[in-house]
Amino acid sequence: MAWAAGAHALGIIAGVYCWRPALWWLIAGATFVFAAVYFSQRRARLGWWIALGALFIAGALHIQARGFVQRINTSIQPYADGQEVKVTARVTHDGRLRPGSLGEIRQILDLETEQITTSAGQVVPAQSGLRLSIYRPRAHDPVSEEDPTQAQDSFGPARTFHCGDRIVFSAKLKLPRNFRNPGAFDYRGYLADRGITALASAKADTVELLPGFSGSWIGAWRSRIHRDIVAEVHQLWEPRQAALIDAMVIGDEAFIDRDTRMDFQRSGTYHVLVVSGMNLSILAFVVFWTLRRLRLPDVPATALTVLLCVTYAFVTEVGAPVWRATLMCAVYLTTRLLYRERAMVNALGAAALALLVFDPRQLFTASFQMTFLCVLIVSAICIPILQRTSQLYKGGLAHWDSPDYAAFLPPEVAQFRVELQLIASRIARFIGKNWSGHITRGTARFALTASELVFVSAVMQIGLALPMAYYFHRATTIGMPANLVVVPLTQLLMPAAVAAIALGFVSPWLAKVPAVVTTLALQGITGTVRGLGATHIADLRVPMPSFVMMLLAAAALALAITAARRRPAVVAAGLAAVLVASLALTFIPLFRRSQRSRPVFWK
Amino acid sequence: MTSIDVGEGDSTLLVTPQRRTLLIDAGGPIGPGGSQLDFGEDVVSPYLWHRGISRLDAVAITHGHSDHIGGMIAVLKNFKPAELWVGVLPPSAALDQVITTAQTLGVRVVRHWEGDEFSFGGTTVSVLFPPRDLTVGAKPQNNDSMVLHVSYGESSILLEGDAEKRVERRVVALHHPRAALLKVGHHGSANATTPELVDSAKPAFAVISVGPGNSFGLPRMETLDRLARAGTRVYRTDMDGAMTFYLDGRSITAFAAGLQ
Repeated sequence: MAWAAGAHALGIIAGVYCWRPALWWLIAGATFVFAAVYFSQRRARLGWWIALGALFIAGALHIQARGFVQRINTSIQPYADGQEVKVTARVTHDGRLRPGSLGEIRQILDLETEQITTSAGQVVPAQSGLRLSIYRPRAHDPVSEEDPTQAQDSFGPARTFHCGDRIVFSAKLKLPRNFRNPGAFDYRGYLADRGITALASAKADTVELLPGFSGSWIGAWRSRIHRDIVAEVHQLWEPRQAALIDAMVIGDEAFIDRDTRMDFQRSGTYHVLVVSGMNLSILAFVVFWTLRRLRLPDVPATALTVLLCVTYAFVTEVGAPVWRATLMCAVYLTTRLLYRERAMVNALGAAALALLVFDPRQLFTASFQMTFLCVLIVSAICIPILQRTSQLYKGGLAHWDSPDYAAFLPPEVAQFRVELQLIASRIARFIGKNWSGHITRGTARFALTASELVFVSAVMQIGLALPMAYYFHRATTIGMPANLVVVPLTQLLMPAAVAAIALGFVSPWLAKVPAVVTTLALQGITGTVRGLGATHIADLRVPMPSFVMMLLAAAALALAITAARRRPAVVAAGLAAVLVASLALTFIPLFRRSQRSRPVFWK
Repeated sequence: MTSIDVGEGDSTLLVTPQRRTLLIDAGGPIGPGGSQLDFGEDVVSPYLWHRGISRLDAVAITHGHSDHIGGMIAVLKNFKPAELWVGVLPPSAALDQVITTAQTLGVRVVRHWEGDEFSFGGTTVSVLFPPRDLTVGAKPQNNDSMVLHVSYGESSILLEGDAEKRVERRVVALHHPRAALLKVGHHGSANATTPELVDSAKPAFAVISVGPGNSFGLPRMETLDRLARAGTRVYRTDMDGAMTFYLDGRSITAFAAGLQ
């Protein structure tokens, strides 16, 4: 499945950069499919390669048929002419109240317009996406300054609008604008991906709520559940901690300030601050493990875990990243049931292929690439290496009292086991045989697990050096030590926070214990992030890598993946190549002149 | 030279023939309310990284207005320049913060005054304003602007910051600057780019750093008329995006980098 996903992805890239008429791709695709079917019975290996070719062509055809640019309704854009218009619209996505830069309180709403009334009185039906910023003066009370959810305006608690509400307001429409510098963030594209074609801003007292409801009830329920959870979080924790819990657990970043965001980015732990694949995997693991401990059979436990992941993804409203993680989790758990070897790589490939078939444009997003690269690094480099090293030694700790078990172990593992048993027998003179066995094995297991964490974290950091440099211009120099502390604490925080929120709806008293555990874990995370993020070395920024450097770094990663299942010297060479590439990306100064392809005028 | 698109603000990158880099101003929000954007981190730095720049040799502040220095702290942190060039330093919390950040990062703060002339990476930089005896106001003003003239071979650039006619008249009277490329003062305001300056500089090219649909109505038609009458080809960041000009010592080639 990984090969299939790779072929399809390459086809999508080819479709974007090497445009050919759709008919060409169709004819080529049909030829490849027939050839693959023909050879699958005669020369299976050749048939396999041709099938990959068919998937490649399918990718190219898919992106060309679908279009690289999001097609959205832009019928309101002509009214962004500097004249005030009256807009009737329904709320499709509601934002939290948050402090604005001028000391005001703002609520950002995504709307779908119903009609526009021009200043000349002309009424035009228009269904377009509009992002509206509603602002109101902020009452100067310490409560709302500390916690924006408690914001008041001059007349009492600030009125907010919710998903499904119909509203009418007057505003000047504006078109979103990009800073037109090479390398600039594509703000217009970002909004277009969310269906937004224009922007507007209105004072709160000029926005009128219309009777009735418009839109989907499912969306309204989701919005309400999300709001209730955020409110519960702010009941259980003080505002600064609640802001972080909102972001980590429910994916609501409305209350995260810029400095906090920067601290997490600098320390290479930003993935913790957003609802990412890791957060979802932690929850899925805890639920699955608990269900299995409760003696629930494998299949129902898997089904319940997947159902919970889907519910969680639905409620968080984060969008593609969390649905991607949910799909990967579901595919992994399902393939795990089949006891397939390399289940993780297969699950990864199946999930990637499904997502690319659903929306091929995702391939070009940083979050898609980084999610799959992270899992690929773990599944294709770390796990194969660990299976042949620390996992073997961990296996040597099983059946401790069996004298025959060592005979089934590789010699070096058997020796390790015998040496540990000798140590245990010495200790047994002081504390007894039973306790000495437990302590010796426990210590060895802890040391092996810790070394696995260090190894995975280190490989992850060097493996992600290329996308970090390309997308974020950062070298996460302290990512490894920061993640070594932060990731285990997040593993504690996520289930504790979810338990606290769930129990909080039942009784605040019941929620106290998990809330305290969450607070302690959160303090550990923020302390680590702020402490390490404040160091000078954390602030190492890197320029855009050259094309050659990117190719070399990608080749190094491919080498490491290929080498991971081979003999130790080859494994070491693969890892060394990735390390050298990541150091080169960080420290070799590359100075590129800007493009000189478009002369405008000569003198 | 590249005039970076920072909306209604200023930020200009100079890369010399010996590949030394100087960033003059770093854009920023207009007015005291600020913006959700950090212009240094979100607008200027991505362009510099895209150019493959990881370190700047020097940065310069023309004057202390927020649309010129708002992004400077992030630029100092991200690119750790060797020097920060400043002219007049009127009382200003924002300016103080930039200077303090520079000192914390070990960046050498260098004061430059009218009459200073030095070589920088194969070019000659002349400071045309402010004079040492300029009376410092109670807060930053447009006419605090450091005016620089950078020449390479027979081609040269005049960088005005937000200098207005009082400064321009002095610069013309004392230095008679010639410049094939003019970075127009104060975003094309009618108060700058005086006929005297245009007559003296005789620019073949001019670039105006200005935001689209700005509430000040910049650039003003009078300014554009003056430049048009002088036969100057004008580029604007609001319409052309980032504009890059290559000076080879004899001629200038213009590229609309933002359209690439």
